[in-house]
Amino acid sequence: MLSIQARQLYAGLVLPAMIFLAIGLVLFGQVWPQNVARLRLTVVGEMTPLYNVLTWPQHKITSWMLDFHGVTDLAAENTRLREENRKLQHWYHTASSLEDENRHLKAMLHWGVAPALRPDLNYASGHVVRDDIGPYLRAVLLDIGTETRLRAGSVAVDEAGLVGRVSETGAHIVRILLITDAASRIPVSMSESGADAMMVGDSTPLPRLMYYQQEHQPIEGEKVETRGQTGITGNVPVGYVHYLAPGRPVVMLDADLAHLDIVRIFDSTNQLEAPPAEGRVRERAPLGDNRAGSFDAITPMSMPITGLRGLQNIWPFSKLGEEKGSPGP
Amino acid sequence: MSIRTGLNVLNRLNLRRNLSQTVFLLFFLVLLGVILSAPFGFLFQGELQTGLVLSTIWYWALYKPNPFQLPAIFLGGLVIELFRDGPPGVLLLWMLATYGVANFWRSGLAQGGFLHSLLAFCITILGEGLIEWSLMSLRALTLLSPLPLVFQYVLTLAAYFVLYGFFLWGRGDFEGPDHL
Repeated sequence: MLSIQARQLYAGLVLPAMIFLAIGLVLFGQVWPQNVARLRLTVVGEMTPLYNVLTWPQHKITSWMLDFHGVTDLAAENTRLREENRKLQHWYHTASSLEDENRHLKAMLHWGVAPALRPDLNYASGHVVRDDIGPYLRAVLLDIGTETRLRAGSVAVDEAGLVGRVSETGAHIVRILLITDAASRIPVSMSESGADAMMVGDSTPLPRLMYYQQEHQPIEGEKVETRGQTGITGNVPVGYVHYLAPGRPVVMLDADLAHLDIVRIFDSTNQLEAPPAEGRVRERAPLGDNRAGSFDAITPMSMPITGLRGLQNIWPFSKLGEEKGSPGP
Repeated sequence: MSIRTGLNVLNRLNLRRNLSQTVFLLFFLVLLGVILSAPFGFLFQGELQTGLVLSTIWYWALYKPNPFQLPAIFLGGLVIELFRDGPPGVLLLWMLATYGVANFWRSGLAQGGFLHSLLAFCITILGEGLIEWSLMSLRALTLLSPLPLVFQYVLTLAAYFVLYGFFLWGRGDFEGPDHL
């Protein structure tokens, strides 16, 4: 054991000396930090095997935990896959039934069937590809394919009722003048009163009933159908009568003209009369609104131009009169 | 003759006890340095290392003093400095400072009880954090956030409580004949 003097000397010198060395180490580390860092890295590098041994239990436990979680999740994963498989089976059967239903419905609509294969068919269906809607324009473009030939004047219906008439035909697109267009004139009959009238579009959602006999007033709520006559297919449902005001009957349309998607066109064997193509008629106020007495009938462009009547014998207006006066296809 | 022989035996027992305590202290310090530098991926390993080392030094210098502790602390500090990050030598310097404070005021602190020693420990370890923060700020040429320092300070105090209970629990294993 150390003597008391030695202990006092030891306590008085060794601790300050060590503190002095420690301060020197701090200063050395501040002045040459790279050397200390290099030494530390070397030591840590040499200690790597020991670190591997120290962390081996941790890695092993972590691995076991992962395996354990994997085993426990296996049952849940299996259950989830079984559930997904069951759902997929359900949707597979649903898709198969929908495919069959779609095929059946398309067959009913004669969707894309070539007329050469079914000569007895006189109608075709197609998608509305564009709305030709403007301030004074109510028409839609319909894609009916290249294998179907329709004539202008054919009536177009949706799943509920009359939509309009074909005004122009193209290679695979037809233009349908909607019954709400200001140029639209459809002869109609009322089911109960038996009255005949003209349904006149006025660019509003409710076309007006005009030119009916005064002794056969349209009755509120009665059904309205097209009148079978030369130029148009008859008995096509249109809507029902509604009075906006006394003496002002309109037709509440069955067809949803605002959301047209699939439209069917009937190509009647009757002689058809094409409606005036939209945009080629002058806008005129309906007859009932012409209070100032300046009534002029809307002249369909398919009719002979009355203004040229005197010039028909003079070339080249004779050619123009022949073109305009020629009947529809 | 018999009294001299008895004193010699007692001195040898004390020497053996002091040596065993010193070896244990050195081993414990090196173990802390090595284990807490291993890549376990735990958060706050460095802060925990500092807290455990300073707490150990404080407890050992206060409650288990012996003349061989100082070299063991110095050697252990050098080893720990090799395994830790931060400014070199700061922990070693403050290990020695902690030992010096505890050893110098040991009699007064021992009479004051646990709370007095805890209060003195709180003041002492504050210096280590301040020096480390100052040196790191000097190296970065800016004032760094003191929040890590506060966290390490609190963690060191918490480690002291844990180690105090641990060393009290293992006290019988290191008691010598003087305790009897």
